[in-house]
Formats: sequence, structure tokens, C-alpha cells
Amino acid sequence: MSTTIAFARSSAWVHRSSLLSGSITLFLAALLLSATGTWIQSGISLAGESDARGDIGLLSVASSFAGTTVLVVIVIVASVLTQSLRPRAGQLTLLRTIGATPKQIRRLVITEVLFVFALSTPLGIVAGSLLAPRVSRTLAASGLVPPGFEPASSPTTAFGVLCVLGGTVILSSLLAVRSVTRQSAAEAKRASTVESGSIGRSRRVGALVLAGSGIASACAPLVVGGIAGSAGAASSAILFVIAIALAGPVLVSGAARLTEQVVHDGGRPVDGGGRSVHGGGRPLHGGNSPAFILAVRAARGHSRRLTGAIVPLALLFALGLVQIGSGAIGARAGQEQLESALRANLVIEASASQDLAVVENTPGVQSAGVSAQVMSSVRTDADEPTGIGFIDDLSWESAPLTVFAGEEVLAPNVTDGSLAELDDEDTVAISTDAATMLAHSVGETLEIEAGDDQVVPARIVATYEGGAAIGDYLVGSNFPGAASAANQDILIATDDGAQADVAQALRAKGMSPIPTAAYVADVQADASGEQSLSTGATLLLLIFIGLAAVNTLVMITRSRGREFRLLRQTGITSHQLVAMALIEGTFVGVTAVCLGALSAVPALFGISWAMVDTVSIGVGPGVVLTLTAVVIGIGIGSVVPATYLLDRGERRSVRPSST
Amino acid sequence: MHDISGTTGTTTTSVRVIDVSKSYPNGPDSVLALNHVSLALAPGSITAVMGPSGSGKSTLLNCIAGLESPDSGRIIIDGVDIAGLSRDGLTRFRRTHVGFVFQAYNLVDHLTVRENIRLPLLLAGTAPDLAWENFLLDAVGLGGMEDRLPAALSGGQAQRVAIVRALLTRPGVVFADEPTGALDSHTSDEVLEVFSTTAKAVGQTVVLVTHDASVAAAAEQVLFLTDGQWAGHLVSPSPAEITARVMELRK
Repeated sequence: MSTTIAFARSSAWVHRSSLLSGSITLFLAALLLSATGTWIQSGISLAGESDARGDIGLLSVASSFAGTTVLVVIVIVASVLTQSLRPRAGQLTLLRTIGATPKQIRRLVITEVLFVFALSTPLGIVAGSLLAPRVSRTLAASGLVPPGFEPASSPTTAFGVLCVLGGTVILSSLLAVRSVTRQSAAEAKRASTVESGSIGRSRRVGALVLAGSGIASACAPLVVGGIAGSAGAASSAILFVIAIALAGPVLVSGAARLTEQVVHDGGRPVDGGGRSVHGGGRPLHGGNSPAFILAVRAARGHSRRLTGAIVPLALLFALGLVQIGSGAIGARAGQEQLESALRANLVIEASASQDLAVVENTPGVQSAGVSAQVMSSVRTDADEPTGIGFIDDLSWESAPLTVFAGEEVLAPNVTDGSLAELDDEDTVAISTDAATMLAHSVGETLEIEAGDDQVVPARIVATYEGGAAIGDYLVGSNFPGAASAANQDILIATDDGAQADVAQALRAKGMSPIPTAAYVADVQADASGEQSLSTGATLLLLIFIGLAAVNTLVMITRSRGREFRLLRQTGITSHQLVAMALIEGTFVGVTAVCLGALSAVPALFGISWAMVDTVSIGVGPGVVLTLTAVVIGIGIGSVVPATYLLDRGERRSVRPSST
Repeated sequence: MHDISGTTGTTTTSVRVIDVSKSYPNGPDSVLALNHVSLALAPGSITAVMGPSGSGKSTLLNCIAGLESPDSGRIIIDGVDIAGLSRDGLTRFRRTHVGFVFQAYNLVDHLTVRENIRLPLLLAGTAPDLAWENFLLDAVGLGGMEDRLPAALSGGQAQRVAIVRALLTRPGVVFADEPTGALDSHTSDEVLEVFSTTAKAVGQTVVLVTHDASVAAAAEQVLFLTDGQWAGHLVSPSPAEITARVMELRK
């Protein structure tokens, strides 16, 4: 074993440049997971310390983010490690040919990557735990943590990060050297010099199953509407990206072949004098530059390693587009729902408790009612308690109750039951989204904790559409705690043509009525504040993915020194080499954008259908173009400088001849 | 300084090397690989360069072919002083005037046989002469293998691809560094036959570096290099004469 360690250590040192990429990615992955884990740990602490059951907002948000983060981190780390081990295939094959057993090869590689893991991951964990408190202020602004809250890192977080990344590192290393360990030495030697554009049966089946699951998820809104359908559709994007990762070499080589056919590099015959039979000495290449043809052929030949860069970039594009698109669709859904439900034409925001009587007595006011929100907890899981504090707390969801202002001013579309019964002190109406998520219907009972730790078994009297705008739970003014709700908005319906007079009269009484359009805009602004937290978290993920993609592309380019040297010797000029790199970077970016769009668009169509009954991606061309520019920019910005620097290094290096 | 001219007796030279020196760093010191070497070769001549390992044979070939820059001296190919060319200018010049067969084949792994042999033409943006290409492929026994990748070729087949690539552009000068070094004797004979026959057919000047006396005997003249300097030459020698001279130089 000590021989293996010594060999692995010296091998890691010799291949330090390619392993450096893996170590940078591991550091960033550990940082991201550690920061997320620290906030989950803090969420658990907050939930445990809080007197009020259901104070789990932070835990919910952090857990939700952690799900995506862990998935993304596993995909990216596995991809980068596979790429960093790829240049080693020749050396490992050599070891196989001189008698190393597959077990020895596996042990050597795992020992080597564990060196890198041991150096990078602890640093990332420490950095993550140090960075986690930096977002305290943002979280406090969103009401997820008390002002001044300081998260504390714990050994549990570090252990969790080590387990996730350690498992990923070992598994991806085993997969990366499978081609060397599973084949005979001769087959492995042949495979180490050329990349196959095909994939194995299990990989093909996996890709097809995931793509099928993605299609089913994207179509979920055809069966289930609202938030549930939207969540199903959103998950299709990640399923498609993983399917693309599995089918990557086939897709990338296919894209290269397609490009090659489209540009037609051709084989136009010429006569014995070197003149074109059809074109009188015209160039062979159908008008395309040698750089273009070489770039496309390189993409075809390097489909496996390019998959390692294209998949992260496709993920970046898809994740970014779904995050921004779904946010915009959600905002549009909220706006439409609120506009269609409002019967009022004036609103007084944040009114005082005595204002309602004044409003009602104002001439021209037909009807007025108070809408307010009461923080509460709703039991979302009917399972028997486990007796473990924070796990039982997970059965409760922090949710605001909306005090119903009356159907004269706010009339959501009731799908079942009647809102008239909300006058009782133990009744509730729930949105159709909540009804789907809770699997509850009219007539059933829902446990709600509101004020003074009092659990109210509330009878569901109605279900309604528009939860995204109005809130998922409507209660009457007699519900416990409703009367003490802060930030009461008075919704006012005026007589026909009396809006201006009423507004003037109310202003004369010191109040500030606004038209409902302005009120809807204010509600949207509040919602966008919450959305920004999610967008910010996703942005961190996108930065991580982008850095990993840059890392991978630089690594891939650096492994092509022999090829560039040969092209130099065969007659490629600096201009042609840089042009080839430019086209390769563009090919990587464009392919990633296409695959990312294929992953994201069905998800957004599904979300749009579920939320607003139309088919749309939710964003304009500006967002799509920006994301496209970022992805293609990463492709070009990584490949071109790396190619230039590698070529310059090759030119500057002095190699004594063999004789 | 030795000055060994070609044996064809013509005054026109295809390759002229004038007082070329080249050294490499070796720790704090440097190693002189070529020491004021001069040479003139007539068009259409076939010349072999021999010498012990480390004598500077490959360095000489690399310098003449423009793959490395000499520290001093001039190299003139087809009347062009390559030292006066820019880096890309030299690349373009080599592409059209010089063919090079490397010891290690140097094929691009992801390109097929046909794509590899057409690489210089692709880079130059010119069309291949299909008749000439097919003649060369058939001559070296690669007909029907055009769509194979290098990984699917034997060493001899890969070297034949490299030879076709060097000859396809009809360069005036072809350099070959141990072109048969990695081949068995039978394959070596076949490759050499094709190489010399096709080169003669188009009147190319050929310079090849070899350790093999039987390979060198195929040349019109054999030049011997030791410690970066000329150590004599033989005209139309037999393998036995070459072997005897090599043994003599080793003493």
C-alpha cells in the first residue's frame, strides 16, 4: 500500500496541472456545500430554539436550495474529475500493459484523487463556513432570520460535505478509469489514443429513461395545474440536462458531423493537374476556411472531453433561463390573479384600525373591507409525531393567513364550497394549489396555529384559484389572531363614477388612497423581493458552474499540446490556429446553448401552462441573448487564450533533438 | 568547416546550408548540437545522413526543414533564405516547399487517413490532385484504408500515411527522420522503395536521417556527422561500405 501511496503522490505531482483543475472545483464545491450546510444547520437550530412551532422558514429555503446545489455539485465535480483524469489514460494503459491489475489501477487513481480531495475540501469547508455569515443581512431582510443572527458552523456540516464530495470523488474516479480497467490491455491502449463518439448500452438506456421522465414531467401541467404542475415541469429541466450528460458524446459528435455536412467540406475531385473538375481550381473546402474544418473535425474527435465542458454550460443556460423565466411567469400569474380577483378600485395601504369606519362613512363608497396577513403555521403532514423536535416541526409549514376583506372587494374564483362561511372563527378557505399540495378538500379539517401557540382545527369551507396573489389560506376576521393583524390594507369599492370624488374625500381626511393598479404593482414589488433571494442563490450556483466550465475547457485545451505541435509542423499558421480555437469555442458555446434551451424550454412551457394557461418562456429576447452571450463568451474566452498560451509555450520551449 | 556538395555535378542547388550552428541549454552550460555545418544539395538528389546518437542528425534536419531556428548561419531552400521569413511566412513556405516524415509518424489521432494526408493541403486552402493522391495511396498499399483512424493502423501503415502526406503536396524537398526506424525489415524495405521511387518520379530532393546501413545505401550519397560536425561522406556506397565507415567512426 505504501508503494501505491508513493506512486500516487509522485503521479499527482507530475500531473499537477490537470489535477489543479479538479482541486479548484473541489474547493468551490466544498465552499458552496459548506455555506449551504451551515444555513441548514442554523435553520434546524432556529426551528428547535423557537417557541413558535413552524419557525422553519430558513430551514425550508436552505433545504430547497441544498437539493439543487447537491445535484449540481455532484454533476460538476464528477465531470471535472473525469476530464482531469482523461490525460492519464495513456499512463494507466501503460501500467496495465506491464502487469498492473485493474484493482491496482483503481487503488492508484483513488489514492491520487484523495490526495487532491484532502488538500482542497477542508479549505473549501472552512471558506464556506466563514462566508455563510456574509449573507445574514440578506436573510434578515427577507425575514428568514432575526436581525443580527449569526450562523454557527458545526462538525455535522463538515462531515456531510466530506461524505457528499468524498463519495462523488471516489465514484467518478472509478467511472473515469473504467475504460482502462474493464478492457484488455491492448483494447485500452487503442482506446486511450482515440475517443469514441458512441456510448454504452446502460448509458443509452439511462439517457432515454431520463429524457422520457423529463418529457413526462414537462407535461405534468396538462394533468395537474398550479404550483404542483409548475414544480413538476420545472424538474424536467434538470432531468433533461442529466440525460444530455449521459448521451453527451453522441450529441456532441452528432452536432459536429451535422455542422460538417452543412458546411460541406467536400472532396470535390480535381484532374491530374490539380485543377478542380467542377470549379476550375477553386479551393476544396466549399468556401469554408481550413480553421473551420479543423475545428469541426476536432469537435467530432473530442466529443467525450467536450461533453465535459458543454454539459456544465448547458446546465448554466438551462438553470439561468428556468430561474428567470419561472420567476417572471410566477409574477405574471400573481398579477393576473390579483387583478381578476379585485373588485375594489381604491386601496389604502397600511391603514390604522379606525380608518375602516371613516372610509365606510365616506359618500360614494359602496363597500370596504380590511385585508391583512397574520403569520401562522399550518400542519402540512398528518403523520403521527416522531417525538424528535425538529423532525416533527417539519410537519408544520410557516404560512401567512390572509384575512378576507369580503367578496364585495375581493372575489377570487371559488372552485368548491363558499367563502360566506369564513365568518366563523374556526373555518378556512384554501387555494387550489394548497389543496393539491396538502391533498385536502372542502369539509376536511386543517390544523392551524395562530397566535399564543393555540392550535385551531379549522374546517375547510372553500377552495379558490389565485393563491399566488391572494395567499394560500383565507380566514375571516373572527379567526384567532386576525383582529390583531398588522399592516392592514383597506380595499374600497366605490359607486360607478365616484372613484375620483372618494379618493379626494379620503385624502382630505388625511388618508392616501391609491388606484388598484398601483396596489397590484406594490404587491408585485414585495413578491420580487422574495424572488431576489432565490435568484441570488441561483446566481451563486451559476457562477460555480461557469467557473467549472472555464476550468474544464482550459484543461481540455492544455491536453492538446501534441496536436497543436503537429499542426504547427504540418503548416498551420498562428492566425489559423487562433481562428480554429475561436470556432471551437463558438461551437462549444452554441451547442451548449442549444442543449440548454432544449432542456429549459419544455420546463418553462409547462410552468407557463400551469400558472397562466398560455405557452411562453416568460422572458424576452434580452434575457435569452444575455445568457447566450455569457455561455458563448465562456466558450470563446476559455479556449482562445488557452490555445494561444499553449501554442506560445510550445514555440518557446526548446527541445534537444534525439540525435 | 566541411563543405560537402551534392554529387550530381550541377551548379544549381536545392538546399544550401551555410555555416549553421545550434546549441541547447544543459543546466548552467550548453550543448553544441551543430558546429558550423555547411551543405549543398542538388535538385533531385537523395542524401542520407548518418551518425551516432547525439551527433546532431535530427537537429540538422529540423533546422534545414525550418522546424527549429539555428543560432547562426543561413539555410536556403529553393533559393529562399528561410531565416528572412516571418514565423507564419516560414510556416506557409514549408507547407508548399517542404515535406517532412517524422520518426513517430505524427498523425492527428482524431483525423482519418484521408484527412491526415490532406492536412497540408487543407491548411494551404488548395484542392488535392485526386489522381496523384490515389496513386500514392495505392503505391504504399493504403488503398481502401482512407477512412480509418490512426489507432486502427499498424506502425508500418501509419508511417506510410506520413509518407503520403509528405509527398502529396509535391514539395521540392522532402526530409525524413528515421522513416523506417520503427518498422520491421520487410515493411521497412517496402516503405523505402515507395518513398524513393515516388520521390524520384517527381524529381524531389530527399534528405533522410537513418541508423540503418541498408536504408542509407538506397541514397546517392551518405554524409556522416559526429559531434555536430561533418566526418566524411560516401558516394553510391554499398551497405558493407557504410557499415565499415560507421564502425570506423565509432573507434
